[in-house]
Amino acid sequence: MNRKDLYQSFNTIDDDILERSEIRKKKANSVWIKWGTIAACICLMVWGVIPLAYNIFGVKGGYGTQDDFPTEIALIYFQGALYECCDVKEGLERVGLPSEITADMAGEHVAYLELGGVVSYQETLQQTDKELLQYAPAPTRAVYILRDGDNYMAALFCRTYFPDDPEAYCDLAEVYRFFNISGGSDIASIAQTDWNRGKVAGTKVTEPSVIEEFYALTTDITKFVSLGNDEFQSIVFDGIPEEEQQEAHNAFADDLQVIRIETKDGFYFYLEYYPNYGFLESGHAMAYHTVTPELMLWFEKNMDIK
Amino acid sequence: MEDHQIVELYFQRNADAIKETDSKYGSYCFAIANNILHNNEDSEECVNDTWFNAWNAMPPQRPNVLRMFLAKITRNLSFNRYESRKAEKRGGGEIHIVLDELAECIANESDTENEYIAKELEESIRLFVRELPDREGDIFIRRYFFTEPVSVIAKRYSMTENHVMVVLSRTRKKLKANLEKEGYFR
Repeated sequence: MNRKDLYQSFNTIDDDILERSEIRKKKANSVWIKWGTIAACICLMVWGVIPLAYNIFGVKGGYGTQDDFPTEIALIYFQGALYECCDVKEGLERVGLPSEITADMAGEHVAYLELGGVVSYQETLQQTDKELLQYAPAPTRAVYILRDGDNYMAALFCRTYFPDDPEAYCDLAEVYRFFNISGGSDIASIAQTDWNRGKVAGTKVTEPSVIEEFYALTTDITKFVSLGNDEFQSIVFDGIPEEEQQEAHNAFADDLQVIRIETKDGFYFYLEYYPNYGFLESGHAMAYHTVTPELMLWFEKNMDIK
Repeated sequence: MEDHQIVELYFQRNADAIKETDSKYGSYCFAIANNILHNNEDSEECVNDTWFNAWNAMPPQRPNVLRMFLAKITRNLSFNRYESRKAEKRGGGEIHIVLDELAECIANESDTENEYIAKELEESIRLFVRELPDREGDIFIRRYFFTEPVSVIAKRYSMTENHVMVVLSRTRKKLKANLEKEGYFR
């Protein structure tokens, strides 16, 4: 047997199962629905996620030894932000980390954690065997190391989150701060990638003055306005007849250009640019940012994105 | 036009069957082909070949779910074309990554005994996917049947890409364990 045999053997999957995968599309139009409505989902997540935490971290014998493999993802709520635990090679590499997290990458102690709270883990003042540690090679608020007993994995910044206002969004400048970016000189490159965020698929900008200009344009809150999902949906899709909504959303999705920001520390994060709609989306900020004519020109001139 | 009406046109040998199929499922099948081939021209040809194959298959076949019937034909034709194009060293998009990921589910790749195990393997995969929890199964199908990029799957199910990758990784491990248990790697 080889990989092609395996790929081809998927052709006999039952039609009803294939159909189900189509029907279960999200009902609303944003990738953030889960996060935007997280407060309503907390009770679901608590039962869904904590068992995973146990499975991953060996309470029942360790990940990889279970009959039923966990598929939920453990979340950490820490100081106004949500973090996702990650031990998957592809996920780690996509954000610029090594393919495996090991004990020697753990830096200074940041906080002790306990299972529970609004998501999987929360901070506690008690000393526990679960802790959040700095990522020693490049300490930042965007990437921590999670130690649970003898197991180490990455805790990746997902989004800002405040339990009192779960749908609150922020400016891109706030996201920059998580990644230790306080000026253009903290950004190593800006590149267009493929949809998978795997490979650079267009221009890669490394010229400091050009990057500085990008930083200035995306942090000028007087012009670079951030919108929440509802406002965005209203502006782009309101007024379109119901029967044309799907087509409108497809057209919007087709306009997507993925922009990868590489920090001077070597971390990656991604923005989604919709040039024909004039929006720059940041999942970390939970916001759609209105692209100014100057920023549009910047993309056109420096990355050939029109 | 409803699917059953389109199928009826095929059974009446009415050429409008292809026109109606193209109108309703042209872009759908193109997306499947293009995920595999990453080439507009090749993808369009595969879609046209899909209509030709469907015309030859109906009758006698009467698909329960026309869209999936067409999806399977398109997927097969596109993968075959990918294989032939690979020999010419061109084409291929998401499929490279998907095949690499599937290689993780196999202990030792081998070209032997293909004929012998093909049918059994198909049945194993069919049952494996059927027994997966719904969401896990859906994500697995979008990736390994429809060859969709992780980012597209994440959007589809309102998940983060990290979460999708975690689910896929664990399901691949589960598949590998299942194949081992069934003796595919002896």
